[in-house]
Amino acid sequence: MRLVIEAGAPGERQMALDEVTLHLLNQGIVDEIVRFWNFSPTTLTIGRFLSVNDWVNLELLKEKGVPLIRRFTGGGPALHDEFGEITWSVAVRSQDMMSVYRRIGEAMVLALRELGLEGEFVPINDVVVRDKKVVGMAGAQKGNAVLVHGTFMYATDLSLMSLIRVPKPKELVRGTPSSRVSNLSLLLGRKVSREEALKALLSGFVSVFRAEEGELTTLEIELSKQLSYKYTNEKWTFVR
Amino acid sequence: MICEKIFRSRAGKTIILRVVEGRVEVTGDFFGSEEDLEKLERDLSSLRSSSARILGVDNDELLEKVRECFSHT
Repeated sequence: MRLVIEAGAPGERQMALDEVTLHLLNQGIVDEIVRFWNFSPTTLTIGRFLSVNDWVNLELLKEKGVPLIRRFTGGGPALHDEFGEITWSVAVRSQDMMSVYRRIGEAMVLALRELGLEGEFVPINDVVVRDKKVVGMAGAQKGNAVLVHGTFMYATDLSLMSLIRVPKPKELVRGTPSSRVSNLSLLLGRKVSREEALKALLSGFVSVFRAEEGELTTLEIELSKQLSYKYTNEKWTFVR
Repeated sequence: MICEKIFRSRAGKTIILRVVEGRVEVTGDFFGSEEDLEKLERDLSSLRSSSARILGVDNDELLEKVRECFSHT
């Protein structure tokens, strides 16, 4: 399995790359991968099957100038702070998304332990510390391949959670995003740096996935450039 | 729109189900493929049990909700 560490890039590039990797892995053209990266600039993403109007505070989004990207993966909305999150992707050969979530949950618990926190994987797709969500994940399957990507919030600006609208039934069970979500710096009571968060993530993921330093293929890079138009097109963003 | 139901599914995801002119639309924070969601929506529109596989969705629970919608119209 390849391990790739990248810097920040716009959401359309990141989503296109993950989607291309999923398709190519299913075709047996590329190897499995663990990739660490981040959104630049700060971006709000929504799941493949969400209606924008139900889940996004569009007026505030416009006011703050935050881009909105619809993912090809399911799940809820996610705020990706350019300066407070490491985003990660795992693509493996599997037909069982739930088992991939579990393995990633295991890697996350190890990463959090490295930082001195006791994390817990909460099915379907959350990792929490003291009942606060610090990791969210979202997956998609294509044939024999599953890609899951997600957040690792070490210093996310939680005031931006107001960009997310939550339907009442979810709010009643889970609370508002700003009350339910936290970041590692707040939980530890000290500033966690990107380098420190990345070191912990590497330790957790390498133990579980046995990943070794690798590279993106030329095909992944070329095809993702061609596909990135999808993620800035309003017909895709507002498809629901 | 005939009916709208917003609820937490038995499987723990938030579902927004709308019946518009006899057609069922399902959105939410679940996981699956576009093909399975289309199949689920078609089956629900015909008040049929569905074999679509969507993580976080209980198909029979959705069918009950759709039946409630139609029974009130």
